[in-house]
Amino acid sequence: MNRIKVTFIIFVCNFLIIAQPKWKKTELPAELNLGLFHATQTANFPTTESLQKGNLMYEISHRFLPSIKDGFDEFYGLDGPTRIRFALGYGLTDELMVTLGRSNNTDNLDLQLKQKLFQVNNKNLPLVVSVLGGISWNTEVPNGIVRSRGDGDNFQFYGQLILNTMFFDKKLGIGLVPSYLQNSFIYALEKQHTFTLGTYAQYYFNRMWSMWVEYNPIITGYRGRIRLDETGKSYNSVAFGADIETGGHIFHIMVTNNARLNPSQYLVGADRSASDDMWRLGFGILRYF
Amino acid sequence: MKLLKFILVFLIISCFTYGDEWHVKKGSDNLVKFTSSTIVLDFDGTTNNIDGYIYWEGKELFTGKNEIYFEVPLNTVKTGIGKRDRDMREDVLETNLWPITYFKGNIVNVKQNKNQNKYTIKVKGKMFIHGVEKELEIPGDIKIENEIMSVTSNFSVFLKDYNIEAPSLLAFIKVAQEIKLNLNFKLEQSR
Repeated sequence: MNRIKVTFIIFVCNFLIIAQPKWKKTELPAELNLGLFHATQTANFPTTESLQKGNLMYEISHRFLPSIKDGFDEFYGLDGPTRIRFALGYGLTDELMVTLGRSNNTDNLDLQLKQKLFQVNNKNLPLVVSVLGGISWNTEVPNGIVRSRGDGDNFQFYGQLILNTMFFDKKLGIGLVPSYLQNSFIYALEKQHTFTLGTYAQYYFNRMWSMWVEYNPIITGYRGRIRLDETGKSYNSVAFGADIETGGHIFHIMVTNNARLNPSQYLVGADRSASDDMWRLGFGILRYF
Repeated sequence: MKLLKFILVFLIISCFTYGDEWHVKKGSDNLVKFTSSTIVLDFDGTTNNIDGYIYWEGKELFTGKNEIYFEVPLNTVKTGIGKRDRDMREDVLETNLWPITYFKGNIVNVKQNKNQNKYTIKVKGKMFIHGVEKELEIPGDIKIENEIMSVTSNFSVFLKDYNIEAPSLLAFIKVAQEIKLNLNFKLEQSR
């Protein structure tokens, strides 16, 4: 009798078990690349974000040279002249991208590689670290300079370590970019270098709107002019503005004391002092595809 | 005592007449594709990460009490542009909150085609996307060959049904509410 009962119970249990699907739930895929800032660069600095393999990025940036204080006659600087940069980026892998850019400031051609190094996917303090290295070729040969376009003195080299983190549920992004520039002034008799500590913060109100501020103090090294027709020294760079993000585009709109665009020029410092009320307007457009 | 013996015999027989269960065969042959449109262009998102099962208790194919369940981890869907993928994950589908989409339901209609290995089915159940479950009827075709069950299904879902705001694709041009889904995947018998 007991044996029958035990057999009965075993069969009931067995029946209940096999009368349900045996399928086991999928393990979710491994961790994705940690995305912090919404773009591969801010107005003037790289972020740790990279392009997906095979993707492209196009940039066009303007910095207007007249000051906002010149008023309506200069249309607050928008009449120009203007420093312009065009750039095209390409994702070699999901973590390595290459960018080729050109600025009309000394006809500076710029080639850079950015590699993501590692990420810490911590909920409270996520961290991504990337490194960027670049070479610039100043192709303009000014009057009075006896040198070929391809002369070695026309080349500059730079490296940047990029650290990004985010707070408040990915609303506030913070970036730190220690940067080193070799051959800061291409017409100097002795090679110059500049070391800066780029910092930026960006607050995202929503997916479309954000505001940001950037500061690039020169820690040590050369902080003079970068063109022969400039006078005086360079200053710590300050910029602040808003980003509008929509449909694969990011628009930077800003006020800044630095009209230099390509990294080997921007890293020397600003061409105007922020305290002298020499604020200028600028914008940048990024398109990802 | 007799009743107990009768139930025992019934259960033993039930075990031997138990239906069948098929699981998704993982692999790159599987395809889940969505197509989204704007007035100027369409774009696709694809993944081969689909999982789930078809289960029935009847002796014949898809008969008796049955159940189907399929799920797709949304973080695996790729549109070809990394920035767009990230926007889709973070802003549109909010995959940090709802990382998968699933359909759970029952086969309500089976029609065997002249070709004995092909079936046209209709399933009814709940589609879960973006934290919202909605009743849906989905048509599908099944072909069984060499112990592999191939499933194809084409249907549409509408963003507003799942509390999803239509995102912009090109500057300020919004995508259409209708998202077309094409599924093509394989299952193998669970042993």
